[in-house]
Amino acid sequence: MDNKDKPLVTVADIFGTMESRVNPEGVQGVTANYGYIITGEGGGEWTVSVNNGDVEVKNGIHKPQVTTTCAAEDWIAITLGKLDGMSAFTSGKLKVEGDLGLLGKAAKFFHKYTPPVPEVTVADIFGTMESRVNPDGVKGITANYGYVITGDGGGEWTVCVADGTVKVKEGLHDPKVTTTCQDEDWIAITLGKLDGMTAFSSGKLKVDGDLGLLGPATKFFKKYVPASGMEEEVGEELIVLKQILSLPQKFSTGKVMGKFLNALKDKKILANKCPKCGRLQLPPREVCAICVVRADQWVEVGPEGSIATPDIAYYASPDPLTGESRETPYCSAHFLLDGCKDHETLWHELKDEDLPKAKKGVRVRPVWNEERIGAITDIKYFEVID
Amino acid sequence: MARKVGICAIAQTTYEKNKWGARFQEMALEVLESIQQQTGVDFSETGITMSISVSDDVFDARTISDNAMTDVLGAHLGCEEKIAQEGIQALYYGLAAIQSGHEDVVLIVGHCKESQGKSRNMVTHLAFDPFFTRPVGLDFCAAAGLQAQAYAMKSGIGDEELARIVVRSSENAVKNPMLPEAKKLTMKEVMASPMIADPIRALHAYPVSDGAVGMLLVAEDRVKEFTDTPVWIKGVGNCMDSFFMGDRNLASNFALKKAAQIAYKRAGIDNPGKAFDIIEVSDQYAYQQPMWMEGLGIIDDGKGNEWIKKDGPQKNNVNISGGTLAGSPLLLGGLVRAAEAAIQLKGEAGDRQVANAKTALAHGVMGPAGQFHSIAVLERG
Repeated sequence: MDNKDKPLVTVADIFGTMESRVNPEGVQGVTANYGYIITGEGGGEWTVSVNNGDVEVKNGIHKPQVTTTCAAEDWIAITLGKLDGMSAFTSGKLKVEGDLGLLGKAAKFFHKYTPPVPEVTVADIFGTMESRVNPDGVKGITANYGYVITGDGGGEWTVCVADGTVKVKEGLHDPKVTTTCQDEDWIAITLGKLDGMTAFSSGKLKVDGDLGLLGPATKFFKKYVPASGMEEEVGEELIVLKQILSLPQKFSTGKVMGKFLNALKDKKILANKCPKCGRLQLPPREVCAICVVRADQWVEVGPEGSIATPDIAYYASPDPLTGESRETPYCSAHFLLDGCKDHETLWHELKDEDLPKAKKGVRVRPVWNEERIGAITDIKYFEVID
Repeated sequence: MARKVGICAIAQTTYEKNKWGARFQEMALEVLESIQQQTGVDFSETGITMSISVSDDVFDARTISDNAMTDVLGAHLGCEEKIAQEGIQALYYGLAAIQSGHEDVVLIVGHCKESQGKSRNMVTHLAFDPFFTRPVGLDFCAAAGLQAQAYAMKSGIGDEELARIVVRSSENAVKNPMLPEAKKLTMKEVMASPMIADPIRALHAYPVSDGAVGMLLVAEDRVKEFTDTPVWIKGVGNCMDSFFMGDRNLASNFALKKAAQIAYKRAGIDNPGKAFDIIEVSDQYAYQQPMWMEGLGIIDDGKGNEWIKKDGPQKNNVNISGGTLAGSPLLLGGLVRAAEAAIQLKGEAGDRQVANAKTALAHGVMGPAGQFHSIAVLERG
């Protein structure tokens, strides 16, 4: 926070804007009270009451099923995406009491919080000019530049350039060239939202006097950054090139993987068997890796089985091309399907709602998609058999 | 004196534009099974103890591409090493592992499915840096265009001579059972094919190819267990030139000359112009065949054009297999050249057999416009 007098992002603002940021899909079907104890300066206590689609944010703690405790600065950092919620949890910066499982859903309750936009004023633009002088840009130039900015937020200024030094004075003082412009247009030009040349040719910006002086003026100052200081800092010679590596591919399944995937369309799970050691492979592959012989026998297994090793993943790698990532947390598990033994397991996922029941030995069955295309995702997930 | 290393078996799949019915593992497995069938080798303590794979992460669209191959390399619970460079380097690795005394029996299996990515040129485009060369548009084909121009200025080679190289390659290719899609081309067809990077025409470039190739390398004292007709690796030499092509004289063959010098010294070759009965060079583009022959010192510098005009390739037994130009995947070109040379030396080349072939040279190239060269000198046992 560069604006030290009055931080723009406050915990109160984060909670205060929650009701306006509700994501209807995220809260659908959820009914629970979430308590928040935000400690330190700027903190407070809030309860987010979710009632099947309705969200109410109240001051104070009111019968929460789960309560999150966190320092104000950390909560702000988490909200702005500067601190990862899960690392805050594992490092102890964020503490949770009550039903932990409810928190996974909370990540999807609200649309992204955007800090209030700081107001850019014409006075601030002129007021910061002396601190933004670009020495190379003003070298060798001596002239007074007058500015008449009209509108409520306007005023008159003179930028006095004298061979390398710059003074900005209020009022007009012997300008060699005078620029007249509406306050909102001047702000837009300064922020780069309106092109100066376009403004000139469309009549939004008028110039009296020595027009030729204006060209050099575009290089007098470094970029104006609004007071919030939210802009990313980039070193002058360090350029970051952002690109997506994209190379469309078509992957052949081959006969063995193809047979396995095709069987999923008929809700069948096929393993292949090594003729030498009798080991099953899921998914099937051409050879038994241990015996280095073709595993050419086929066995239908499952579809029911039990959990062998469950794990909860709290993050997901985004797809390199779409940037989209799956929902988190999710339970990734090895399942030992009926007919398989030892570590002849199939890796898939367990239904979200069954997360609390994810234990070794628990019986499961696959839930199939209505439309099956011959992909491992034809199995939506496995679910616990109650 | 280090013990000799013999190539005891060679196996290849066919090379086709699109092996859509197979995943990489199936192509590699075909090669492994053939090698086992030829030699009876297994993965016991007296069998293969080291597997060397050749593959590329971007072509396979998989990070650390060799990890997915262990089943079909017999490398499961064993030693595996990968060549990310041109496949002929696998001979060098295998040679080093055996000569060191660490290994006796080494398996090499390379695979590449150029058809998997939407465009082979997109893959080689990614070989360049993102700030300078990529935005301008370079890939290996465009890079070859620059080199072809530089070489044409030096040697005077023109459209007709380049077409001659392609036509001869196609005539040899139809005799090679590993190239079922090969067709005889005419001068007219080649010279009418579209220009892709002047002076390179579409038919001057090797076709998109899928396939796999492998060999069994064995220490001298154990060769008899696996074959009666070993082919000895007499010497390998390689050399890497600058990545930025602006740093190079593109027509100079600098890296190739150095690689050849090293290989000849190790193999005891004094007169390369007369030493070889079989020469297999990696001609990904037609102009490269005479140019590499100059770099190898088999013909005089700058005389490649005259050599083509005087039917030199036929007299020198260059690329009797059809060469890379007839279709070998990018990573495997040099390894396939070595395989073809070894098949000739073993006397197993069928219709394309050269009588009494005793000494052969195999050449591999990788990187833009011949950045990296590797040469192996082979000899009949």
